[in-house]
Amino acid sequence: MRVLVAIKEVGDPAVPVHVGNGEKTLNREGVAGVINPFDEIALEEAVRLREQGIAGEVVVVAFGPQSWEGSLRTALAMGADRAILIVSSLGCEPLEVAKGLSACAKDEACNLLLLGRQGVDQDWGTTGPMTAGILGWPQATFVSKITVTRGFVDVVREVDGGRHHLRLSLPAVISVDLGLNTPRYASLPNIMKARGQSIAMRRPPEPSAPSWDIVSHAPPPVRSSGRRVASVEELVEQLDRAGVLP
Amino acid sequence: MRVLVVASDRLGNPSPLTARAVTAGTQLGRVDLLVAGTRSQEKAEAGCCLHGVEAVLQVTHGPHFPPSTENLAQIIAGLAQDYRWIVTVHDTFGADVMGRVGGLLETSPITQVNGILDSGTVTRPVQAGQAVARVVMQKFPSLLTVRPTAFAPAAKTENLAPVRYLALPEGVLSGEHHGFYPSLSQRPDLNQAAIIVAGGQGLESARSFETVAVLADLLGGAVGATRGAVDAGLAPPDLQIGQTGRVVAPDLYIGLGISGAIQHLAGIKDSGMIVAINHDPGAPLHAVADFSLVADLFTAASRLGEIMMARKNK
Ligand SMILES: Cc1cc2nc3c(=O)[nH]c(=O)nc-3n(C[C@H](O)[C@H](O)[C@H](O)COP(=O)(O)OP(=O)(O)OC[C@H]3O[C@@H](n4cnc5c(N)ncnc54)[C@H](O)[C@@H]3O)c2cc1C
Ligand SMILES: Nc1ncnc2c1ncn2[C@@H]1O[C@H](COP(=O)(O)O)[C@@H](O)[C@H]1O
Repeated sequence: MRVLVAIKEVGDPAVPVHVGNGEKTLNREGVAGVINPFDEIALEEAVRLREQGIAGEVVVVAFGPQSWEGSLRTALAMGADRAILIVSSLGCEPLEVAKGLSACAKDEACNLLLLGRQGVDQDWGTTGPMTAGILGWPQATFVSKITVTRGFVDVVREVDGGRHHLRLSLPAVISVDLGLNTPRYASLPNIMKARGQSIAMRRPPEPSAPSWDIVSHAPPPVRSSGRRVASVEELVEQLDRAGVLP
Repeated sequence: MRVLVVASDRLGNPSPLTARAVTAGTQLGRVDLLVAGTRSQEKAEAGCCLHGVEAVLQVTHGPHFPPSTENLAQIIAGLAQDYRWIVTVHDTFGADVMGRVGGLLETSPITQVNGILDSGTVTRPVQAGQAVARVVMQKFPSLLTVRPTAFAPAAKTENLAPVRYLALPEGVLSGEHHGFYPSLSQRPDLNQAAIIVAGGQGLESARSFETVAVLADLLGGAVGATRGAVDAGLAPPDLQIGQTGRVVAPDLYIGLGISGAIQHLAGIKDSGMIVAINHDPGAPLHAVADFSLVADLFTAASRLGEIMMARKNK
């Protein structure tokens, strides 16, 4: 079984974003790029499947600029066997990415495509199900448990109000949630080894007409800063005045 | 022009969040409501009395039951040509199905919409709520998932919308449904609760996290947690509030031992009132709170509990 893992690079979420009024693109220049945290979880799961002898090969793919090579090398150091970069400009819309990923999934004849439930930069959360729709493969989102049995994969989904148990036939697309695993760190020898590995470069599919245009960004509305209360009694008095306590 | 609102499903039941998607839909055009899945009869009954719904399209049972995301996406894509907008709530149901519809129709959905400026322009938060993007639609039908916290539920009306029936398409490859397992908590849902008491790493141990639950119960509220608390094993993952958890907007949010990281604030900013209880005066949660109390959380929570208890017994 071959597992393909989609890797998105995002600006370090620990670095605050500064936005002026009316900016078309958010300036994140100089902010270090990291692998989207959910994609590390997806990769960790794929590597574990290989370690258990269930997956034969783990391939990582990113759809982004040349500068994302570094994140793919990190993915190799974390245990991926091969890496593919579909070279494109930064900030393509999810449809372009999904088209690129689905073409790659077919070319690679993978049996399982793993993605993150959301990119923590834009929070679209759509690339997984869009890719599944394009491929016509069954899908499961928000997955916190994966069990592969002959030709099938049983999953547990974290849905509002509880869990959803589902069986998918392979090939399938799965987007992963936080509870699935805790990703390992890449060891120094593996990081050194990954430096010498080659990354396959591919061309993106023909672009589609845009679905929308992000015309501008603005800072969020600020909550007017509140007041200090000196005691629990004063707090209760204020909350009563606002009528929010039972 | 017409809007197709897809009713949300919550563990196989009608979701109260559907009424919020209807409100968003009416801000765009004339709303038809699509209901499917288990208890679709109940969903149709709950939907046809919502203000603004002009017709209910009810999917009748087919060979696959309950219909999977794959089936439902196929149905929605089949109806798409009659609509200028297709709208769901951005919950785990809506995000799952709308993404797939986007793949079928070759349109990227605009997700997490928190404001509708006009029939072609919406806003959505990005970068953990540190910026708000203004997005102009360019392909139709346009696919939107809306944040339930940003839209009030549609009111009920006496004029019941007529119900039309649709058959499920056959032969769509899909997952095999093995069941829903509701969380065991008897407390109100994070999505619904008027009051949320949330706890952070200041709670130290799962046992002391009970402090949060006790206070929530006294207030008739829901329990929430930070990612820090979840990672430390203090609270289960489904209670996590924030950018990568649930987005909430109760009338009253009380944060105990929570620093107020950007990613947590992303999930609580739309709350009616925010209260911070943290012994560190420099904690960022104090800066966004309507009322902030610099105090030891255990002392403060037990005093607040006593006061609420005394009221109950009165
Ligand atoms: C990509 C990404 C996504 C994330 N998503 C989320 C998310 O969805 N939700 C989320 O919550 N976080 C999220 N985080 C994590 C977030 O950045 C913070 O690490 C987390 O919110 C911190 O949790 P905390 O406030 O419980 O812990 P801490 O930051 O450790 O704060 C604990 C606070 O408790 C106070 N305290 C301690 N003891 C007491 C006491 N006895 N009395 C009173 N106060 C006390 C301390 O002063 C401190 O301020 C995300 C991070 C990343 C990078
Ligand atoms: N440009 C990209 N290259 C590779 N994978 C991506 C890309 N964008 C999104 N993904 C994958 O899709 C998931 C969801 O991202 P998004 O839909 O952007 O929120 C991510 O966690 C990745 O696994």
